[in-house]
Amino acid sequence: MALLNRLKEYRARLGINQTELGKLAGVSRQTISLIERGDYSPSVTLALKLAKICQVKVEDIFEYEEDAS
Amino acid sequence: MKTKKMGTYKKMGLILLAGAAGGGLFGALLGAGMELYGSGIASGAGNVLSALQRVMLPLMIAIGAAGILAGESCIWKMKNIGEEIAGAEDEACDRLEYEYEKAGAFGMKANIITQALCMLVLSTGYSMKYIGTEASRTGHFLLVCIIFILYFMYAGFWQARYVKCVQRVYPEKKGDPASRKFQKEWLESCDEAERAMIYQSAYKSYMTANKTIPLLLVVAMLCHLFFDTGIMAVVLLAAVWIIVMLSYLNSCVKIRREKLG
Repeated sequence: MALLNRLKEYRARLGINQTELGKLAGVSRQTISLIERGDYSPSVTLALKLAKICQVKVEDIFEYEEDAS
Repeated sequence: MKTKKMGTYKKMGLILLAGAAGGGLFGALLGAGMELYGSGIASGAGNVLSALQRVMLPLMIAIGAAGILAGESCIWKMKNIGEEIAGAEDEACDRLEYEYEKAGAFGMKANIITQALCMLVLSTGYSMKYIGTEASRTGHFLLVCIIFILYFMYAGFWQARYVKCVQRVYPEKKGDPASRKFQKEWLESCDEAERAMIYQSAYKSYMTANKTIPLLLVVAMLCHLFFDTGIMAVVLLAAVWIIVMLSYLNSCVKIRREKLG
């Protein structure tokens, strides 16, 4: 299972850094960095929060990609 | 499905048989070794113990000094990296935070290992039989005890300084290290990804304990069998094993019960 995301792109559109996005979402900068790198799949609550901050739908930021196997 | 189950039981049976055979062979070799060198090993162990008792003071000073050196260098490094983190860009921050975590982990490891070593050194003379002898006076046992207490105080304060150091870089981290609720408050101030990391590490620690404790229990039993080291080590290890297992299993049940509402 892979969760692709475009959080970095949407964050850049907002013109804010990871620390600022983390503050808005109530998480640490490291968590934002982990999500952007695809090393951590956020909870539904956090994903919704991030989508709300970026003013887009969750599916615009996160995309589920099934394994070829 | 049935075939798979049979395979599992067969595999487990073979593992148990291999374990029994290995244990038997190991026991036989150890028994033969004890017959041949038993008295030598016992007197060698006695010599090591008295040698350790003689160098208890310099050993305690060396361990304490190494602990202080490691602790202070770690705090110094953490402060420097912390200052860099404050003004770093996102990408650089990832690397710096890893360095910060690594430095902190090194300091904490040194703190715990030196405390354990201090206890080991002290325990070589921590016996009424030894304290009453002339050797304890020439070995400055009282001074060793004072250094031990002072180092433990330093180690405790160091842990509080470490927490304060982390809290300066990450002010969102809550908890007073002097409070009994510190662990709870710290965990509550962590976000979901940090908690996931803590839970992963905690589970790994549980798995390590689950493998190590039974092994140490066997070693303690064998030592008691061949060297008559006493049953206390076996009792304590068995107690630790039970406590670790029960704590994990009870926690699983408690979480399930809470989910039921």
